[in-house]
Amino acid sequence: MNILMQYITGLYSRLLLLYPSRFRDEFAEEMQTVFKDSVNGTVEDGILSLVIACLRELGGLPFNILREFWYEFERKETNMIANENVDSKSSGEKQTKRWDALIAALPFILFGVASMLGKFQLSLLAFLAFYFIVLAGLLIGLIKGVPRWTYSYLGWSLVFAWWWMGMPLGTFMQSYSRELLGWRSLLPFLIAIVVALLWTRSLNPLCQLGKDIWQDWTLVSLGLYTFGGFIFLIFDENHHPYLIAFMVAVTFVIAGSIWAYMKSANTGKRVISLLSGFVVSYIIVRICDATWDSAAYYGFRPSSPEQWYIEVYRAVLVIAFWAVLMFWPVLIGLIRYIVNNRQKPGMAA
Amino acid sequence: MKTQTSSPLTEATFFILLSLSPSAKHGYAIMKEVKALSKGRIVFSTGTLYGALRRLLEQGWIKRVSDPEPNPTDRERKAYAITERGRRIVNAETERLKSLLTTAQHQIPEGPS
Repeated sequence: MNILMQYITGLYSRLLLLYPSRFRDEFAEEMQTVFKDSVNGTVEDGILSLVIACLRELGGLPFNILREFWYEFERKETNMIANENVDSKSSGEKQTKRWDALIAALPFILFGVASMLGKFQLSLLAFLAFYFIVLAGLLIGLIKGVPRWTYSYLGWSLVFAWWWMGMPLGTFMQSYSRELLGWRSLLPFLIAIVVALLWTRSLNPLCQLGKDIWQDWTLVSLGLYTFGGFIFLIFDENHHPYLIAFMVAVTFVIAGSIWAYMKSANTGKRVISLLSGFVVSYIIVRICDATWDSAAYYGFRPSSPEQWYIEVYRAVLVIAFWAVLMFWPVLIGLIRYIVNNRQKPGMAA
Repeated sequence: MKTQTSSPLTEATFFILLSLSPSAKHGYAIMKEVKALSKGRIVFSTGTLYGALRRLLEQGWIKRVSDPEPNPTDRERKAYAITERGRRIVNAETERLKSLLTTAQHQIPEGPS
């Protein structure tokens, strides 16, 4: 019986790890003692009472855990709104340090470098090293309490996994290229997330992601901007004689826009940083395309030159499309604005 | 963060406060007392009890005190005592229930129908 009791109490102490860390720190030890007392109390009434007591604990466990996580979430939400009301300059409005800005821009620079190395038959090694670095950055960011630069690594991890999945636009199983890794390329990303959760032994990294995005919707735009960075920096099947110069220019522009984004103290400046980075990169890429005769290189029939206004029309359409794609998270900001304005009278009371 | 309004209380909260009214108790003693007071209707799991205690602590209706019945063979356990505010809440709830009962007794005719 003693061995059984030891096993049950040991199992219970493991199950307590599923509770939020704050709750665990405060009550886990006490709960173990009470559970032990409770189980010991039932032993005298026979094995059936013991089973019922254990089932009662197990049955209530999922609900209790979910309730405590929900409670933590609500508490953080209330604290956050209270802090915003006390100090209108919330953490989302603060300027980022130079070092953090550099860390955020690093994956963009590295992808540019990997892309350049790719032109010298080093693509697989360079891109694998890049994926490893962004995953490591993501993991460190999640463990370190999700600083703002984490979103750059999160975006790149997803873009890279998507790329190596074969860039499916529909369901995950549909891809135009079956040579790539398919859904398996998501595994390193998922492993990084799981390791971060196990390392912190809580859901705090994910909660923090949600909290940060709620405070500053442009963080989602930063993540989405990595898709733009990927498209501009890859220069696929481009054999322009001055290709490396164009690649270096785009890498600098995009990394510079990330730097400007990180150093911007308000939402408007952040949006302008990303948008201007996108527009300038687009112009450089278009100049690159316009000054290289791809038809002659590949031996195709030369196409008739386009009118200038068609090029402008195309540019406006592309930029408008990407602006919608990058800045739709403004809707999150709108919802937050409505919610905060509703809650202010209650806070004052 | 939602906090329970003072009235009406949930049955579980009412019984926890009631169990602490005479004296401070540790977690297991609260479980046993609530079971006895509710005549076996309310049997807390440990998780449910501590979830409720956490909210009561944060609302300031109960507080932590040193165990009034320390076990010399065991390490010191935390106990919980009702606060002045908690006492006011449980008294108000008792008055509310009494009033309900009185109203019900006046409305429902006694004897066989």
